[in-house]
Amino acid sequence: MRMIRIAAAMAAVAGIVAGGCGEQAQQLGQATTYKQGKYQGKPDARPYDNAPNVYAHGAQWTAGDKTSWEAAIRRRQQGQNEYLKAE
Amino acid sequence: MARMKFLCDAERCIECNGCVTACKQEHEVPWGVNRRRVVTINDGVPGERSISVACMHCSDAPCMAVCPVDCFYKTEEGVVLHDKDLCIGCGYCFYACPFGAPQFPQAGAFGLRGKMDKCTFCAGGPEKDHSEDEWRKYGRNRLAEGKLPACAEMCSTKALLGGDGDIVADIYRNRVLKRGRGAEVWGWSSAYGAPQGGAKPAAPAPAPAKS
Amino acid sequence: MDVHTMTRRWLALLAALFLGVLGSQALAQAAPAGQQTFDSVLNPNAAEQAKRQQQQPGNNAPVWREVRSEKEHYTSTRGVEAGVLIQSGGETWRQRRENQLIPMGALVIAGALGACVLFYLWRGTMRLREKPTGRRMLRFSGFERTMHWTVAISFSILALSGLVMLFGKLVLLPIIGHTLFAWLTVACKTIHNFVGPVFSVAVVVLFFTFVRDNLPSIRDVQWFAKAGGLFSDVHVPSGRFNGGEKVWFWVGVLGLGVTASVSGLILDFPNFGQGRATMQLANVVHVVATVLMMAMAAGHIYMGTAGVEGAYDAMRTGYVDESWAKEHHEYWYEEHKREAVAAPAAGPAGAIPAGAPQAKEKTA
Repeated sequence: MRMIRIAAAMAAVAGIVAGGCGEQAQQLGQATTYKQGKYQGKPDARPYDNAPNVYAHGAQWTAGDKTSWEAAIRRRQQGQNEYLKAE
Repeated sequence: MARMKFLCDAERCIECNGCVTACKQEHEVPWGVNRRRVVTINDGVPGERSISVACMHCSDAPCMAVCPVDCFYKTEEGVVLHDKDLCIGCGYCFYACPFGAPQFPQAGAFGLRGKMDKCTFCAGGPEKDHSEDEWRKYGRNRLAEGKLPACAEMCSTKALLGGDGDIVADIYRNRVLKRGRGAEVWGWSSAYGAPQGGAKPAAPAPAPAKS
Repeated sequence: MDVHTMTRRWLALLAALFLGVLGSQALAQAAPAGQQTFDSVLNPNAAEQAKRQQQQPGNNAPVWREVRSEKEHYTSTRGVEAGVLIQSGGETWRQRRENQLIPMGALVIAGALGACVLFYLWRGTMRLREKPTGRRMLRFSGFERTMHWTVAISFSILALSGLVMLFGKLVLLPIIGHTLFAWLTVACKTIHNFVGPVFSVAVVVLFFTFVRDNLPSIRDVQWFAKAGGLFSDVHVPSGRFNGGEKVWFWVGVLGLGVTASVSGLILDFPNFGQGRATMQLANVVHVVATVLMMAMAAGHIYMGTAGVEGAYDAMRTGYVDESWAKEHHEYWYEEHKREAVAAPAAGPAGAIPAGAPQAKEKTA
């Protein structure tokens, strides 16, 4: 009886471990494969879900609207382009 | 479609460590942790170049692949973020990362690693945006404020560019095309006045010879 | 001093002088271009870059080659290898771990467990052929049993926590979810880090405890020739430890145990400034050694519990029945008997009750 139990436990462990062979690479599909523009991560608010910060000068977008947020970011990014400044 | 990227212009970086300081100040990063660092090649000799480096937010990020608890995730903008509640401090991401971006605060004797900390592209973490928790664990969430990473925005020579990859590429391409030498360089006339009649304004006036 | 030595010394001195004069002349001639020569020797990359930025402004290829070189450069930031901009070993390590170590490790461990199960289904528990005599012999002293179980229990804890960290992402995470799995894994990591040094010390003590009776002998040849009677019913006599046990001792306990300990300690104490290349190598060595050790341990645990009747009680109580000793370790049994006859002060072997003083029960 005891031997049967031990054998059953070993078989169960073997079964669980063998289950690991099914997956070849450590790719958890959704979580670790990145596709451009597709949110495949863990639950997190998108940056454009928030209302614009009053201290971010000139940042204007509608909360929840991705396109307007991206436009605001691009506008702001031109601040890094010194060729648009004095010359 | 924004795909966030950093770019460091080695022609411009002057190793002022302003980006490092800005990052530390913006996120109040703990002692011993540097999300960004400046490395100087050929330091102190002709041919010196400096490069500012942090997490490069890889498309196929090795840290994500090797993490045993799968604590990393990637946002729509291509920013690699991680969940400090899941992180176990094993150090595997540090072994795998090409850039040495993951940092570990010491959590005990014998170099026991705490929760991993790295550059978030100023995008916070999985906590509620602008919340106390998010600030404490990941620092400020500037993207959600409509801003860009503090290091790039603070860069005094605009060597470090950060933001939508397309725009970064545009700015840099424009710069390379217009980058000149001597009086042709951008900003010369603002600083020293317009070149006069094709003369070389670069040469300083000869000092009056003393007799 | 003979003439030849004198001559040789004079010649050597003359040659040195001559070379010295030549060298100084060469230096004097190179003096105008000396700056460049000196720099290019001291820092060839800087010299190349300095030249390149004159010839082709904006072309920093020499610097970018240096970026890729994995060399340590200047940085004011402190940290291990903070001056290295790009290290390539990480990607190699990642590929090795994800594509080789994890699938092959799973295969090896599952194979070992499967072999144990199949063997059990085929042979069942190997029972004693003769009736137990009721007379018991001391096989393992209290100290030996303490060391065995210290290593065995710490090994089991390390093996289980290690398996969770190696395969848990594929096996457990999809079932129990991120939050619970992270709690489990952080517990496993902490326990692994603290039990590891205990195992490292215990395994060394265990080695010295059992090394005398595990020295290879000519008797082991016949044990291996008959495969220890594992696949047949032939009787194979052996000393205190048989060939299989000796292989487990030398390969498993000493070889793999010490390899796993050393590589584990390198990973466990990152405060000595070891670089990433060292840690990547240590990690690969650690996984390979521990997976093989787990596979071998599966066989050892099987033979010690379900495989052989009476084997588990031997390590639990320290005593075995005389008929068990005769059947499994005949030479040991005979030597033991001879010793008991030669030294009657120890009393007849059969008369020793469980829990009797064991000091005189040194086995040969």
